[in-house]
Amino acid sequence: MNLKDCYIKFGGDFDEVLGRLRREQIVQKFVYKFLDDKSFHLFETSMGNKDYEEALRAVHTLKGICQNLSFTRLFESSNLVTKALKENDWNTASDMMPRLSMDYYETINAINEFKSSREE
Amino acid sequence: MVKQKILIVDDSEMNRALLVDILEEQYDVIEVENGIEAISLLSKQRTDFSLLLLDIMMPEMDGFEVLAYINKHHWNDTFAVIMISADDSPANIKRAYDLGAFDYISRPFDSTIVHRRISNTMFLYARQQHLEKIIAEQFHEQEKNNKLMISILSHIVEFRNGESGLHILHVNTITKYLLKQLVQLTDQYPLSKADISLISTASALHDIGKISISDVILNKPGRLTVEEFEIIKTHSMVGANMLLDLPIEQQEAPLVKVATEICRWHHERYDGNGYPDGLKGEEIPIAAQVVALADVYDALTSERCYKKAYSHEEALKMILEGQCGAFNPSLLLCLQEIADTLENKLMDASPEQETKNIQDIRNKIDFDRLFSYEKYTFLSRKQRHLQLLYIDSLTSVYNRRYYDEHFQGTDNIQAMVVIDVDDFKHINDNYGHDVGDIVLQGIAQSVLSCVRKTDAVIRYGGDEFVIIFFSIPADIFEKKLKRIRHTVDRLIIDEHPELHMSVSIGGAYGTGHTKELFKAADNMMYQSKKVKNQVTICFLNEEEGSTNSI
Repeated sequence: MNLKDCYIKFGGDFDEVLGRLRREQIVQKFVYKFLDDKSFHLFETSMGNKDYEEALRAVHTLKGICQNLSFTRLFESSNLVTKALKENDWNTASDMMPRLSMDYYETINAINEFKSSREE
Repeated sequence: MVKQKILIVDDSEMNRALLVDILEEQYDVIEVENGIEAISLLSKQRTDFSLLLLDIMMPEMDGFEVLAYINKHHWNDTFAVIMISADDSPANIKRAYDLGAFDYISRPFDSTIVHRRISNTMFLYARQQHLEKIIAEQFHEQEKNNKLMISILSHIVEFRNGESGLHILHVNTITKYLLKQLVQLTDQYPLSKADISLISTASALHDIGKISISDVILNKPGRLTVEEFEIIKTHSMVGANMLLDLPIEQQEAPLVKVATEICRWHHERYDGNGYPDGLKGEEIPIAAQVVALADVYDALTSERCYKKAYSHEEALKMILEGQCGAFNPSLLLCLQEIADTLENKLMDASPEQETKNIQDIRNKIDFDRLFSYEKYTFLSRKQRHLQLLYIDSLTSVYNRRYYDEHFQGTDNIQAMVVIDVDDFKHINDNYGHDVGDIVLQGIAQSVLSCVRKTDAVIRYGGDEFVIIFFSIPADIFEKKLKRIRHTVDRLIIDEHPELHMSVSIGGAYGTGHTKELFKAADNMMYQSKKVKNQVTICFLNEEEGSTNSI
């Protein structure tokens, strides 16, 4: 499995990110770094606590990261949640959480899979 | 070369890391994770940074608040702020620009574009700062030249008229404050800062016509006769004509125009009772009105050969009562307003300020060296030999040989002074002879800066100086010795700022034989030496043997 396959798997645009960041090592470095990013978990916890302000900031950050790394699918779902929270539409945001969660874990799993295939 | 510093303010570690990756090769990148940290860092060391990359949505203090704070304190005069945010809605971008952001980089980041945007911004800022610096330097240079010109004029006046060297500096100061106050008081005279500066500078020329008046009348201690006063009165027209004789293109320079008005009309009065033209009210240009008032105020508060100094309160009262002629009521209001400021400023200006001004001239132009250069370089070899013969090589004042050969047996000397450096042996022993030499040079220059060109300063022995004065009024003589003591007392040697120097001064006033005068001055010096840092003077002819310690 190479990085491009990994991107295809979680619905990202590898060519686009490589065009912007120039080197595959850099893309890979930040893709790995994404595994440790806490934005999604902060978003989940804040939603559970009904701290919508914090939740908005977290999902907005997640959106920004996805944008920079061309994680297209996860970007779209985080973008929708961001919009909903900005409009104080908390119900819609809650309704969209399973979708966001699914996209997030698909991305994480694909990256982990890629990582272990590299380490073999 | 030192890398330029960029501060990244973003709460997302991932985003910061990505920017660091793009930028760290070319720039020194510092990261903080929220607005509060950014402000606290910038308040301590903002001049280190050339650029700020600022996220909008952050905990604690968001990007807009940071931007507003920076804008309010004008910090973005020295660095540019570029917004970085995932939220690129037009409303946000517009708000950021309104708050003073220089540019907006939207996501996703493209490393080439980020690089270009940042380097272009920095280039523009660096260029602007460079230009600002050049302009500031030019301005400063011009200011310096203006001040220098004024100092030179004051010096020339002092040369002619031993007592009013400060007058031109004072009139300059009073004029400046009066005008500043006037534009605050009324819109009647639309004067810009540049106009005020121009008029203040031009005020230095108000009395140039006095060079046509003979010394006898100018320095007459008693009351002037009607004829003499008529002669004095010509100085305003003479001054104006001097400027009108300049080539036409110079006459058109704003400074010359204003100076001509000031020269001609600074003795006009608001009720038409002044001279030379008897102009009335606003017929008198405002520049001349202000200088007229400044001239009178300083004349009252200073000592003149024909009068004592009045206190600032007395002077103000006399002017307001109309004892010195009528002035523009608005200007009188201004004078009352700034009376306290003037009292402080004019006190400040003397004698320290004066000493400083005169030293400035010496440091930059060095009149004596200029003259001696001319004297000894452009003249014959014989003259150069004279320099070697008669000038002390360490201090550039006359040497003992000059004294012995030129003044022994002279009987038209008005006064003589003996100066001895206090504790000079101590300075030599503790700081070394190199420093001792610097001290002697410094003191010689201080003495020179306090006397007229016609007075002779001689290094008599190791740390002993003699001054010979021709035709000098007693009170000015006394003042000059006080000023010498004061100047040396304040002298600072660059390498040893802790080193304090002082001199003991003995003066003998009265026409007499060199030997008698020297003996008397030397005795007075020994009296001063008992306390040190002191001036003692004896007046030989009037009251026999009267001494006066100051």
